[in-house]
Amino acid sequence: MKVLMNQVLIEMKLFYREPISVFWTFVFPAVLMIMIGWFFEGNVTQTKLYILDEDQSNKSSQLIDLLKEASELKVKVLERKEFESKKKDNRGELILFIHKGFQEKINSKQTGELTFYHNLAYGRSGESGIAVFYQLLPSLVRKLTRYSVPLNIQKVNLGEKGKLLRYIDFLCPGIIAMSVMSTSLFGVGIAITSYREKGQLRRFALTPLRKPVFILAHIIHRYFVVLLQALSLILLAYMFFDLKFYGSIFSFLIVITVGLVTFISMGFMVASRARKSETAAAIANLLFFPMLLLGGVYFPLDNIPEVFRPAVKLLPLANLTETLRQVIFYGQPFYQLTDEILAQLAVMLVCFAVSVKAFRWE
Amino acid sequence: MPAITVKNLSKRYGSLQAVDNISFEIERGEIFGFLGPNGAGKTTTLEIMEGLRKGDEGTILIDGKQLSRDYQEIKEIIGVQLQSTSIYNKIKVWEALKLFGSYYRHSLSLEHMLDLLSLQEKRNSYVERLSGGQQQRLSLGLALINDPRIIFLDEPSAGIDPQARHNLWAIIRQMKEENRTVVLTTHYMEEAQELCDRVAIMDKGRIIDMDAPQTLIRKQNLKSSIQFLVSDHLDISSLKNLEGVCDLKIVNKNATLFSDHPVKTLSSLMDLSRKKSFRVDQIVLKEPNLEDLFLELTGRGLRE
Ligand SMILES: Nc1ncnc2c1ncn2[C@@H]1O[C@H](COP(=O)(O)OP(=O)(O)OP(=O)(O)O)[C@@H](O)[C@H]1O
Ligand SMILES: [Mg+2]
Repeated sequence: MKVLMNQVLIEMKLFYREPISVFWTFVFPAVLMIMIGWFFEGNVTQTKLYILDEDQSNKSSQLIDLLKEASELKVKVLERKEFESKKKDNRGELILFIHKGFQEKINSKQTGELTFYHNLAYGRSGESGIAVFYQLLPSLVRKLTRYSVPLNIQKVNLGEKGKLLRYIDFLCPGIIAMSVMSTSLFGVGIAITSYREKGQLRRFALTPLRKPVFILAHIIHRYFVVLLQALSLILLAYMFFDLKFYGSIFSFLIVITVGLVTFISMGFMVASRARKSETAAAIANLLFFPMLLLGGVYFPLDNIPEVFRPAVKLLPLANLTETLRQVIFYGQPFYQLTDEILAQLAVMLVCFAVSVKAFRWE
Repeated sequence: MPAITVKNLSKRYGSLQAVDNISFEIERGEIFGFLGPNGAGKTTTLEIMEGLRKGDEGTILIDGKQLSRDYQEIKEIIGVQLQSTSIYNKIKVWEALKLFGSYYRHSLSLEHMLDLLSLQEKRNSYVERLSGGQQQRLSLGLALINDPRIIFLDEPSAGIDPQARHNLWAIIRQMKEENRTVVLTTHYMEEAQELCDRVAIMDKGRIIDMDAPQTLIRKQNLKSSIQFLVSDHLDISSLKNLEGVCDLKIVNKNATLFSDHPVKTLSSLMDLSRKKSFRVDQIVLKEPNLEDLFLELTGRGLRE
């Protein structure tokens, strides 16, 4: 135990004596987040509009065609089943519901009924879609009805009131997860291999110091470094972009701790045998990029085919991104996320076991 | 029970037989030296005994314990200075000593080590800022920090100044006095002759001879040599008949006499010069040393 503490202390001292590693750990991710945050702030893309046509009439398909012409909207017509699931698991998509009898009512000079389902929790995209619709409304009405019969439009909010998930709120957990992954994977991986490359671990092999203790000490040391990085990024997002933090700090700490230790163990696994830092970097990249692409950092994972989704969500980065989002934005307590946390712990244990088994001093 | 027993040890690197079936025992309290040219296999042999590398064949007992089985226990009682030790660059001298001390059940105090190594002034320096000799001393410190019973030193005097070398020799002798066992390698003949109770001469992975330095020299019947400058008009045959001379060589004015009894030869040489009144200048008497022995054994110099 004392040996472990000692070792942790030394590793920490060594870390802070290398300004370059401090830069990569703290300054670079901060700059990255600010840049991406600004870059995407106020960047309005095409709004997706899903439509369920219950009427299946000339008038309703005419309406759909008219909406398809609007360049601000990207229209997709849903089946009944898709509609239900989109309504239930809504991620801010705007849904237009064309009620049965739409054509009949218009033809008999009554008001045709339409309902918008939007999600205030994802505010902006839905709101802007509706705004586009209202802009189009006069011409729609003119084209649909010769008599300028008004349409009866209702709005139904699917999300919680008052919570607006802006892009930065979506992005921030992803950026944090990505940063901690890259500093863990590359930081640990390259640091350890370069020690080995320079023969600086060889001397330890002659002492009674045991491999698991050495590895654990490194993990603990890195844990504090990377935790500090995560906290500073949160603080930064809070100061610059007014990040909303609805969850509890405690749950946040649990989720981030599990994620961090997983990535650090993974970094160790990468470094456990490699004799050259280039090898370690290559292996780390091999793990990093697939996880990044499938990590849900920059865009939601909803576009991935249903069959793969559960597996993809267990990838450590996707897992951490999602659990962080759940905790930070949706205010979920950690015990609602036990499946995700257990999955992460399993990956961690595998990585740690492989590291201990495979580790060599020279 | 000997401190170290090595039986039929072999080690191969690809097609190169780095260690070729060697066996020896090292007694407790002995200073044992390995001598041999570069690439002879000294470091390989030492590092296998230290448990750092694995031999292909053979058994090794350290303090009566099987190296392959009780390595964790053996680590507590051995101290190792590698041929080149590198540890973390940005660690300070005192931190390194303290850190390595913390790994052992029993270790010596930091102050004691700093004094012993004459590194007090450098205690707060980063390891990367130390001079080569200072680093060498620190790595000696790491070898001694656990108060080891058996000490392996791979070229401990490489790159250190004369003062530090005498300091090192004093430390090694002190170790012997305390009945510790020291195994070292060196390229310096004086060092081996001065320090070692026994030496093993290695060449191409084999031990070609092993004994006390003086015994080795005597066994090979090596001659002392007397070198001097002579004047031109000298009758060579008169030198040849001097007492004890078995061979002689004259190149220009440099004469070398090889002798079984250098003292007798010398006095008869003096007599001769007085009688025949010729001058003998710059006399040097050279006792045979390990260098000569090595030359005799292999036909090559030690540093080749
Ligand atoms: N890891 C290795 N892989 C391949 N060959 C090696 C390795 N280590 C040593 N050798 C070779 O084994 C031979 C013995 O090397 P070793 O280091 O034991 O020599 P040495 O007697 O210590 O020499 P020196 O006086 O130069 O230190 C050399 O020819 C060396 O090239
Ligand atoms: Mg060597």
